[in-house]
Amino acid sequence: MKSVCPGCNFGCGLYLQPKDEEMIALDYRRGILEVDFKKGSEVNEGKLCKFGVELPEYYANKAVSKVDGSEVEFEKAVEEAGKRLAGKDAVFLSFGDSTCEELIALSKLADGKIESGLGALSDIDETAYMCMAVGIPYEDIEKANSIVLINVDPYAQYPLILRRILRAKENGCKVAYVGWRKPRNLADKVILLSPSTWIKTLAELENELSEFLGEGCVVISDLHPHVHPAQVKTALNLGKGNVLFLKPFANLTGLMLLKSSVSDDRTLDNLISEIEEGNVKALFVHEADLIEVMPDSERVKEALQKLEVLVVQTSRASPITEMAHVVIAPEQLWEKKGVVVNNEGRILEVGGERTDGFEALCKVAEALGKEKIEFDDAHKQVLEKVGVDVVNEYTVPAYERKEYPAQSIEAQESDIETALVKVYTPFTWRDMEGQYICLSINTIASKGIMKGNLVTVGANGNEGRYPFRPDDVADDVVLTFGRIDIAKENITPLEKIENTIWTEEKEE
Amino acid sequence: MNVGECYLGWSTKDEVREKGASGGLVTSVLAAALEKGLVEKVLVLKKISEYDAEPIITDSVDEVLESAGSLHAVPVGLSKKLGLQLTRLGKKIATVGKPCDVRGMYEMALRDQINIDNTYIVGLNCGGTMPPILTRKMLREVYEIDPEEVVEEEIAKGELIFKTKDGKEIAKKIDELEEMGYGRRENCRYCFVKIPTNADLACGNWGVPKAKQGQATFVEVCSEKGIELLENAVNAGYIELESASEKGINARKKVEQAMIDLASKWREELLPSIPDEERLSFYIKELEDCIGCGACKTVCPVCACGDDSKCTTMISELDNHKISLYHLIRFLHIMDSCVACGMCTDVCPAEIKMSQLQARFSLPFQEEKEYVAGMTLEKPPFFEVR
Repeated sequence: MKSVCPGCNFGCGLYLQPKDEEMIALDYRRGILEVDFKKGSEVNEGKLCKFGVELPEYYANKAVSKVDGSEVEFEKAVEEAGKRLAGKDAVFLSFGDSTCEELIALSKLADGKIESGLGALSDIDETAYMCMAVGIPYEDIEKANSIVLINVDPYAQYPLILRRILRAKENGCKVAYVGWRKPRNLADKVILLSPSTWIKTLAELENELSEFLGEGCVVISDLHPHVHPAQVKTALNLGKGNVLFLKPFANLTGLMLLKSSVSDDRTLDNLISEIEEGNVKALFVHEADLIEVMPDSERVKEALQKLEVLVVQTSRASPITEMAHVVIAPEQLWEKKGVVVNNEGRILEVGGERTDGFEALCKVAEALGKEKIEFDDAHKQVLEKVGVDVVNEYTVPAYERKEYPAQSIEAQESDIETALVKVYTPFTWRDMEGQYICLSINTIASKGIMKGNLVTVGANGNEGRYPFRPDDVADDVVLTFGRIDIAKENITPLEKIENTIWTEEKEE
Repeated sequence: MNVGECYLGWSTKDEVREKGASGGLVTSVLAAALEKGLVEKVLVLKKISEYDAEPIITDSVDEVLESAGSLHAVPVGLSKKLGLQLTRLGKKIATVGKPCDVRGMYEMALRDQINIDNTYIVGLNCGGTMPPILTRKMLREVYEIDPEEVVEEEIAKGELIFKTKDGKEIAKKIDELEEMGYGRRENCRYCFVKIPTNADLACGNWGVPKAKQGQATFVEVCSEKGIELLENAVNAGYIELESASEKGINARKKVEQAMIDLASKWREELLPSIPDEERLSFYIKELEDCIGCGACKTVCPVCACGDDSKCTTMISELDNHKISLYHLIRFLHIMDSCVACGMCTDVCPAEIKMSQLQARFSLPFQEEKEYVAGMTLEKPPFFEVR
């Protein structure tokens, strides 16, 4: 059946077919599904990144419904969630890893207050919100005169954007990259960020990149709960509306469209702090895992234990499903009826027929005395919000973008000399990136580290030993794509490195 | 009926005959094989639109009948799909297949991925397939028609013809379209195998007399299994046959030769040899955008090593090589078996022309030994890299 890849918000089309029982037993590959390449998909023309190619592995990891750690029927978990949330002032968290229809049902349950974790972007001028939520069509990248990549290395993050940039280059487009790791030979100009001056560098880019900016310039950045506002503001300032934000969750664009603002949202760090302080006692997490997404997972685990009620509705087994008081395990994304909206605002049918997750949210809402919504009405609301009559995967709806004022960026300098730099790929959010660090050739040569050595890195009072990869990063940067266990902070990409031991110990 | 004989045939079912591009013979042969128990399952393309179809393995006669009609803008690789189901199950399956699909199936049989004795292959003559999204663009920009208005497409006499809902037929010369960057996939342009005579039946519209164009299929019986398929369909009342004329047989050969001549020209243009002294820098440059997704290996019908293969052990996120050893090992490993189906090129997210690179690597050796991969079950000659 036709489906959309859940690996990020790119909206790649593919076909999924359930294997028959004999093949499940015989096939060396895990999972009950087979992937076929959907070459008629306008978004990706049948091309997939590693996540999509190995999608059956991802879908093999199914959650089960539980109450207080014991497996229960789905309906029992839904009923119990309603009972436990009654009378509680719960916070409802979602990163948009589900259909728009489900997000509307969640919004009803949350009285319109779905927390997205995007609180760091709350002070960005509201007029720029639509440009953050919905980017320019992918096809426009191919026609660009110039492209500025802000902390997006297509070889590691959002690989399906790479072909669009390569096609633009064939048409004579010039590419500039600003970020922490040089994207091979893709860019004509590379500005590698340095820990002590990185925000200042972003604030002053307009001068540095003057030859790239102007008519026909497209700016591409990423956007997620840990993104630093200076990066987003820089992209908005340089792109002047001609911006594409790439997002790591299957329908974060849909969530942002339905929310209309993130000005009242908390950062995830603030949310955890409020749980720690006892200000938040009940939490409903929708298709997400706070433990996986926060750098300091131990802190999150301890905080979650303080909650009086933790309800998690998710189709995927992950650390948070081991801790939740109630786990509601509905159908997986590929089985759902409904739509998602991708980075460029294209509305796409997920392809399934089931609405268990939607119905569960409605039943919990009913139990709490809230208004119920029918699936068809939710679907109509989505179409109205996007401004289309029917779902058509071959067209990008026209979105109204307002002009917005330049966003001020405080040109700070930092005293950090050497930093652990966290760069988020869509795979980081599912804890699917390897735990290794990237070092410059100069660092490797000057410290005499041999291939296969482990490097001990200290930060935040902790030490970790990691394999390394030679890479095009600044000499004062230790870069990681994975969720590395010595990291503690979100929002800032940097953490001060306290000590580094260039060990001779071989990797096991 | 004997191997080597040629017939004209058509479906006896009105609906299938109308829906099928050439009288619905192929669909009816497959449906009859399923209904009468000659096979347990059938692999066909389930049409989603003119530009999209999903390969399905079905035991439903109705689903097979619904699959009638040709799809030139849906370049799906069927051989790998077949292998995933048949590898160890031993079931009898019937399938359609373009020449590259059939060649892929032979290579899979050589690696014990499928049991060819249990596989009934209805081969389809093929002048080439087109990439669907580029085809949509071509329709908008060159044909100036809405892609959604297209109900049928056909390749005939060097022209690409689209028929619309309101009955219009618009034809353009394939040569001119391809010069503009549209038209057939590059692999198809330089492919020499146009009639899959290694299938059990080789079917198409080449050689069908003018009076029966669109109403009948020209079919060559290529094996004993081919006889079984045809006789089963006739006995089940699904198809009618008449002997093909000498004139038709010669006309078919003529079309085939014209297509091969055209392919020779494309081969010279698209697959120039790489000077020895430039080989390393050439491959470094061509492969520099590889993101290591593994899609090329996943779709490759001749890759049979599974996850624990020598090429994949050369991929490590800790390495930062200037050239992909993964690809170099693959070039060597499949140099005697690549059937040039082009699936690897189609699915590459970095748009590396993997299939063309493979062809430029292995064709000099294949041509020297006069060997065409995927045509027989005989062991290939020994290739040495000098």
